[in-house]
Amino acid sequence: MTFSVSTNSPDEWKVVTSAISTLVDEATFEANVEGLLFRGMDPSHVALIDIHWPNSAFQKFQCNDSIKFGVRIDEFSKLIRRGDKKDTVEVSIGENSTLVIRIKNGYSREYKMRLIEGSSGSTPLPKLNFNSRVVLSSSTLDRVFSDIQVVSEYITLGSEQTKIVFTGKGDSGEANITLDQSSEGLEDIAVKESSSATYSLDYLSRMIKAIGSTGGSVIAEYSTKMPLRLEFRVANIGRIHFYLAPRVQD
Amino acid sequence: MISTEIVLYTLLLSKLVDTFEKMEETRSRLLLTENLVSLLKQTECKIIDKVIYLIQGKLGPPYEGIELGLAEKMAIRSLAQSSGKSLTDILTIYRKKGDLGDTAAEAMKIKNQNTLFSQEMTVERVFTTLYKISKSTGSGSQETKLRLVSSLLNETTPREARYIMKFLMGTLRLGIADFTVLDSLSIAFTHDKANRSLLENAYNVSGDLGLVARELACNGIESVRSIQITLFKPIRPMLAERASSIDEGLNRMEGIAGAEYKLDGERVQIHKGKTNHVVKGKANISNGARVELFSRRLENITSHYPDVVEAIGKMNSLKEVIVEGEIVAVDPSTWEYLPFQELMHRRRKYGVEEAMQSYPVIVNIFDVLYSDAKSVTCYPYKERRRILRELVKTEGEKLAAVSDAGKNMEDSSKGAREGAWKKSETEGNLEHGKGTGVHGTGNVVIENPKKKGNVKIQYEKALSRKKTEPRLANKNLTDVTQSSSKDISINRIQLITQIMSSDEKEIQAFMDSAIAAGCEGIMLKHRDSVYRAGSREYLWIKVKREYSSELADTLDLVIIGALYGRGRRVGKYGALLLAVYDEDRDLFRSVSKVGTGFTDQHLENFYNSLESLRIGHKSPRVDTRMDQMDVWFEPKIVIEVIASEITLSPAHTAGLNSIREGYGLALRFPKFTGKIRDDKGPEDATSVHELIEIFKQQLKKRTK
Repeated sequence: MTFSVSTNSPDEWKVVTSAISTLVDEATFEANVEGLLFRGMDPSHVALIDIHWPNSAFQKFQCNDSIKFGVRIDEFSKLIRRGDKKDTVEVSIGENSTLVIRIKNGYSREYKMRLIEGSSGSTPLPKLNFNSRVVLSSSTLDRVFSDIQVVSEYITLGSEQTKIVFTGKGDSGEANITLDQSSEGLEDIAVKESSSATYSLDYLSRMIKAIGSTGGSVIAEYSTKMPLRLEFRVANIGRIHFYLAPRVQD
Repeated sequence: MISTEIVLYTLLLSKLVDTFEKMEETRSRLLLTENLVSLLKQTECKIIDKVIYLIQGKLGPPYEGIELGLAEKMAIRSLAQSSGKSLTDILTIYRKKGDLGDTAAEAMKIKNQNTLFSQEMTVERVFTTLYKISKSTGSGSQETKLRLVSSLLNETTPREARYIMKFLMGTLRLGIADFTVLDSLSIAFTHDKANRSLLENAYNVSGDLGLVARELACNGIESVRSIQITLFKPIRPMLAERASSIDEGLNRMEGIAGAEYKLDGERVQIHKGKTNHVVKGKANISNGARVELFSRRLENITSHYPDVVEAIGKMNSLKEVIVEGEIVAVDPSTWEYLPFQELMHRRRKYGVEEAMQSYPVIVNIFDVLYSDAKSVTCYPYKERRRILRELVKTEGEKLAAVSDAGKNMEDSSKGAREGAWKKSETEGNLEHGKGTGVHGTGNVVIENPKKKGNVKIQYEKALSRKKTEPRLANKNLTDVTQSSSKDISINRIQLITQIMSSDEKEIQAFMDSAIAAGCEGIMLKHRDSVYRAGSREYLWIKVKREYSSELADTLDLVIIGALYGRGRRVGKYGALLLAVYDEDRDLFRSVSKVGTGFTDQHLENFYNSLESLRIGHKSPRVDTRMDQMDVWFEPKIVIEVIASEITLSPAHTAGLNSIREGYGLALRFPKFTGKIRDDKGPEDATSVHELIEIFKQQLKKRTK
């Protein structure tokens, strides 16, 4: 069994670990010849993250078998964060169930980290049909979340044929933001059926902050009172799907 | 035959909650049992232990020490998060309902947050999540706990949420006693209540109802039979019946009994064995041995007593053993026994080191349950006692010497509780004559048994030869102590003082010496009785002292200070500091705090009438060492108090140094009689002289 992968910078791992850490403390990765996968749900079953990191996105990818390995995300993240932008990072599985992390540039550092027992079951994906699909730049979406968060902990997404309205209501008042085809940041909108649903901003803003500026555009898909799926396409990673169950609004 | 009846599916929480709701409605033990039987029959055998723990509001056997007890603040936060209501809303509901379980049921009536998948909550998932919550500690644990709590609340119905919250807060009280569980198990899985005693026995030696249930449900009754005493798993202790007199006790013992001091301390079961993993800095490792201490209720109390662990570890005569003893607090300057309350200073999580210095303890071993890799519980008492003498050859650590001991000893010959205990130890030595010099040290306790033999055994001999009247030692004690130096040392681990006798008078004398030594009384033990784990029979009998020393008279004391009340007494005073009058110096010297005997009306009245007497500091006419009062008063109001006796105390200044250097007099179990002595001015209160006189009277009575 071999598992050894390299990236040209630590940034990819930084994004992946910070995205995962918004939901879980312990993560079980799955690797096979095609790439690296992670899927995990937060303990309250409100949100789920599904990462698909194909072999082609790595600088080097060696894996000849189907394997699973578990890590404590905060420990892993701490080690990865020792790397600077131009350092290459190699992650491999060493002896005695350790994860070996080599960070090279100028001089080379080697960390060994104890693996933990991974979860045995696999997390299912919710089966969903989406009536609305909106493509936005991730920086715009980040700003919209922050705008609403000033007055409310929840955000309602209301889509119509050509526009999407974000609203938030709190004790102090209301916030309304409308994006249409003329607005900067809205790249595409396709609405089969007008949809309205409310989600927790706590989850959403943590997620978008974790992925940060590396995410170019975000595809947000949802239906009325149904879960939301955000799709991030990140250079040198592939795609990250983030699912979030709606709030119940009266 | 049995297994066919077990439905093989994972038990749903809703099923458990059904049973809980039925149980809460009934007080009938029969119905409780019926409900429990039906639940157990539906439970998959692999999780039956978890169900058993949960119905008793626990997550494991007591010795594992798994505590839930989520902080109220956390519970409220998680309820707010899961219900989507604000903290204020939750608090409003809580105030109305008065119980967090009911608050949860109310708050979760309307779901605000959906989940991605809805599954019915299983008991197993509840148990695993609760377990994770109890185990999460350290930085970030608050967030982790919140997440885990929400993971349960988000997916439960309101009535399930109610019980989840009760589990979390440790407030589930269904009143399912151990014996109801045992009954139910025998009915559910053996169809024969007669098997109950077998189950009970397995429970007694393993201390783990869950284990017994699982063995029975998964492997049958034969497997239960094989549950044995195991090192590091506590055994349920043998208990004693009570007799009102030695005579009555002896009659039940067929005329002869072992009599032991019954000390006022904490009963402890000590397990010692080899350790596989020597972890540095772990509290339970000493001298390469693993030592675990368990309380009477089978809780692991090892962390409270690192000093005991160390001393036991160092005793090479103890190898793989389970012994039982009584831990008693001793005064760090005199090594006198202190009352039980002092031990409570050792029941703490933090600051154990300091508490160890301020409240040292010694252990008096009185029984052995396991030795040489086998259970000795089936040996008769006298044989176990013999083994014990071999085991507790006290070569262990000695507590450091004391300065000025002679002085203290002298005083104590007049003194109350200390004298006789030491006396009894000393007598043995006296018996063998001052000629041997007793090391010339006034060695009051066992020392170097190899040379002199165990002093306590000498005491046994001394008594049996009837050369010494145990009580004449007061005089002798003084003799000895005068010749004594400043060198008192005692062993931290010692054998309990014991005699074997059939003579009532002899035992009475023994009991007198026990009481004078500060014991509660004595234990009588049947000479041939085996160790019956978990049972209370007339094989062991406790004879406590009669409270003949209860003060006949009431005392009139002056209120000089107070502590604010808590709980029901918020906004009033919880305890009053009282003083006697020192007419020589015109001072009020503190003698006791009193917090019992007050009605709500009294408290109300006191609060109002004392208001005008409040002063910002201690009155110059007041002399006390109790500096931690919330409020001080001008000494004026006199109230009537009764107490069980007067004791020596370093905390109070009444009669300071008059009996013993550094000690004043204090009241034991003081209680307000309800009478405010308006007729008396503060100078008419009980005087220091009177108090000392009553104390001396009390002494005479006791050592009559």
